[in-house]
Amino acid sequence: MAERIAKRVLLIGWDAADWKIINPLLESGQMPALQKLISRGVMGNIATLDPPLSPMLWTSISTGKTADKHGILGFVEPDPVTGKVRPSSVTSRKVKALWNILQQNGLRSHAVGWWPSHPAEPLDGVYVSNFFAKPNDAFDQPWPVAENSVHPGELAETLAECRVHPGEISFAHILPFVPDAHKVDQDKDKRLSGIATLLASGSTYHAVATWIMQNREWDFLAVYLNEIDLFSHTFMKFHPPQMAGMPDELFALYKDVLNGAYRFHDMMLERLMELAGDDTVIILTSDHGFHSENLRPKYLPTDPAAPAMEHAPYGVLCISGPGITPDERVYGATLLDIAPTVLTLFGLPVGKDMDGKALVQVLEKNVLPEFIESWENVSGNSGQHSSEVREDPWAAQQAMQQLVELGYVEALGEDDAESADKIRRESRFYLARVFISTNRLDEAIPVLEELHREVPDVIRFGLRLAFVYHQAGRTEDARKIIDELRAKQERENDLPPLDYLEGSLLFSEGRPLKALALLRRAEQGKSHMPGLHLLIGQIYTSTRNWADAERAFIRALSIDPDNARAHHGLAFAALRQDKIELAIDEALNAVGLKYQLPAAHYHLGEALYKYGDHEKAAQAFEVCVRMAPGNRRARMWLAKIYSEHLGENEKADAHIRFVKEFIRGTITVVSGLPRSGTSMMMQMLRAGGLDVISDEKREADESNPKGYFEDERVKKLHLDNSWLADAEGKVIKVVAPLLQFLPAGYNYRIIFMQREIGEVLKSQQKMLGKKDDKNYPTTLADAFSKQLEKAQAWMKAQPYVSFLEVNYRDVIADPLAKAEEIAAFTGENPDPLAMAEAVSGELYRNRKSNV
Amino acid sequence: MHLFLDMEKKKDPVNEPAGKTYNIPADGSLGLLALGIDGLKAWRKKRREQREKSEGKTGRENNG
Repeated sequence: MAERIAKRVLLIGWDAADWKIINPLLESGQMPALQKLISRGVMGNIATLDPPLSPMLWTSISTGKTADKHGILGFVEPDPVTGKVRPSSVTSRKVKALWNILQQNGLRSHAVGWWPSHPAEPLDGVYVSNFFAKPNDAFDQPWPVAENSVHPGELAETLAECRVHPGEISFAHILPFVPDAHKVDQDKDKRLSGIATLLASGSTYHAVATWIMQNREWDFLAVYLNEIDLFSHTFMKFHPPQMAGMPDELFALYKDVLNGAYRFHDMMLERLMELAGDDTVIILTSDHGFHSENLRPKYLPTDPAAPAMEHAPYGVLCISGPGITPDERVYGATLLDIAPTVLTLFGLPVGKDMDGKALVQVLEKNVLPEFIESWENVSGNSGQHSSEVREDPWAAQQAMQQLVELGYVEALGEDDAESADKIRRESRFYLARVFISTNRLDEAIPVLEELHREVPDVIRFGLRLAFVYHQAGRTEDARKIIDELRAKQERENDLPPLDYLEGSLLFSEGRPLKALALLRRAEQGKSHMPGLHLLIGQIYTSTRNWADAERAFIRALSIDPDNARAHHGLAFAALRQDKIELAIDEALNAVGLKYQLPAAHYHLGEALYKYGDHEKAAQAFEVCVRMAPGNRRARMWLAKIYSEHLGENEKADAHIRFVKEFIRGTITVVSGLPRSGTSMMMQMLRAGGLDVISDEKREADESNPKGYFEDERVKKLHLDNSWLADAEGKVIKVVAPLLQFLPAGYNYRIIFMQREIGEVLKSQQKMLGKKDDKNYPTTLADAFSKQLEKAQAWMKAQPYVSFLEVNYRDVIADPLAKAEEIAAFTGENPDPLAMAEAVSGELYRNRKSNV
Repeated sequence: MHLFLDMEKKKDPVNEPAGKTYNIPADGSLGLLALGIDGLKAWRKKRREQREKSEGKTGRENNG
């Protein structure tokens, strides 16, 4: 058995807590308890899961498993007995939670308010379900403890004292949130009573946690507070900065509420820390963040669970206490890592069937986690429900109504069966999203296909199906669905997501300009698509349109200043425009926000080199190759810097050796028969910004007025290919018969020009100064055809060759479309517009009439 | 101005070591809620006392 690191673990859940709200409060000293927690341990982002729906997420946190395994698939579920709809209950959880596993290992475990946790599990410790705080209507009426909300049941009466009724909340509690509360007309505006309800429920679960800590022995206590999420859903729109359209008087009334909620949670945290003592490891986590500032959605659709669109992809994580590295940052954590980490802290093995990893990097000691096949197979009293347990329909109905009131769940229709059917479809949809987020597209597709077949009018099901087809490379299927949805699309707000998806599709197909047209249209809509400007920036980058790319990334950052990819995009665009200082600043911002971005480290290195700071440039490139060891360009930069500037030849040699031994370089080759358009293609690629190899010995003439782009060394390729190293990352022209002499050891991307043989021969004859011969040169045509066949067979047979056949006439007919296709094939991001412009239609017409 | 009560950093935040109690407002406070079960008990006790005092006073006035 591994060493036990933690004497006790206190796991605190703050639903939807977000660093963007917390950071200013920390800086102004308004969250001192959290500040103390951070200084004694690690802090960082924790990545949420998709879909970001709290009952699914908190069950993943407590089990370490994705929702398809743990079985909680949304806010509600059909009751297996009655067929009606009920709130998701813990009896639907298919696997053990942390408290079950810990109890089996002799640890005293308690759980408070987890979502979902009703009916209370028969744990040896104290277990209080998420139905416990639900108040009756009137404060002065009897308020019995909700049935099955407390285990052991005999504690119900004692713990009833922990419950706070909203009717107990006074103006003294409300004023810190709404200093001008007296101005609120409470007959019309119910927000004050909403605050009272949230204060009461949060205080209730907090009081239970303190009672357990003061009255029971404990090794593990999990306490969950839902209130930050609920405060955020109601009051984020009032939080500064004032949103457009928000009336001044409402803004003035409620602008402090959200900060108040966080500060109140900090006060509760201080008490929990005090009762836990310094010898406890405390883990504070949220399940997702919450969009603030410019990321607040302008509108929410009426779809079920639409409020989850306000959830941000990263929540907060702090781990603090003995054995934890103090005052450090933690990177790369996800919700699935909490359970394995807690097990490791207690010296217990992690289940191999768990989907997360133990965050051993936060530990002061080097610890290798141990593993067990699965905790599900371990027998003994785990404190789980027996399979016979059934749900309390009355309690379920009450909670259901609360969810409807909170806007999480669509109000039920009159027909129970129809409602149950809707809920069933929703849970299937969420299951498909779980499959997508865990990269199991093959499992997601049949689920979404079934949903789309059942209800073709529900746009979001179809959109998701098209998205998955696109991800799976089934472009035609994706396009078919998009066309179908466009025909059905009735609501104005459905158009931008369709444009966005089709734009992504076109971009991945190598049609950046068509993609841009759709994405620009999507920009006009009200839909909440934070990635839109980022994608636009990426498209401009791919076409080397640096100034527009810069503007798009700046726009993306004006919406989300903490978007690491947008900072990186801006750094890259700045670098290519020689705005070196901006490039350095933005690359640093990018890696500061998200360290695991090797390309950002690469561009930081390049910018620092141009700035003249060779030492720091080398450091940045070194980080890049640590993350992406196969990055050939970074290694070549390092070799150059070490040998030319830092006098460290051994290091330079080591990088060159690595490149030679392990990294295969890529060469772009333009090929075909002479006079099939190879020079035109070279010209296009050069205009697009690619580096072409040409010795310029053969000068431009009447036949090729813009030059031949040839290189004498190519003619001797069969005798000497040592010079090919110079062509890595560049473009060379190799006529079809010589292709076979390209040596193994490189990857080749071959653009193979096709032109009708008769046209080729006529053009060659003219170039040779021969007069138009009325006899068709059949023998020559056969010979060329055989050469083409041979070259094509060779290309198909080589594992290191990829090729694209380009018809000369197609290029002339639609230069832009072909330029986009060719640009995508090269993978080097040449500018398709510049490529298209390089093709002169007039020149073609002249030739045509003369050939 | 915010009216958050700063929590006292004492071992027993409701009762001072000498046993002297804080001035617990009958209307309650966020600080008392944040103390958990101890804060709730102290607040409810104070509320009860306040109510009894007020009822007693009213009774005396009525009797006087």
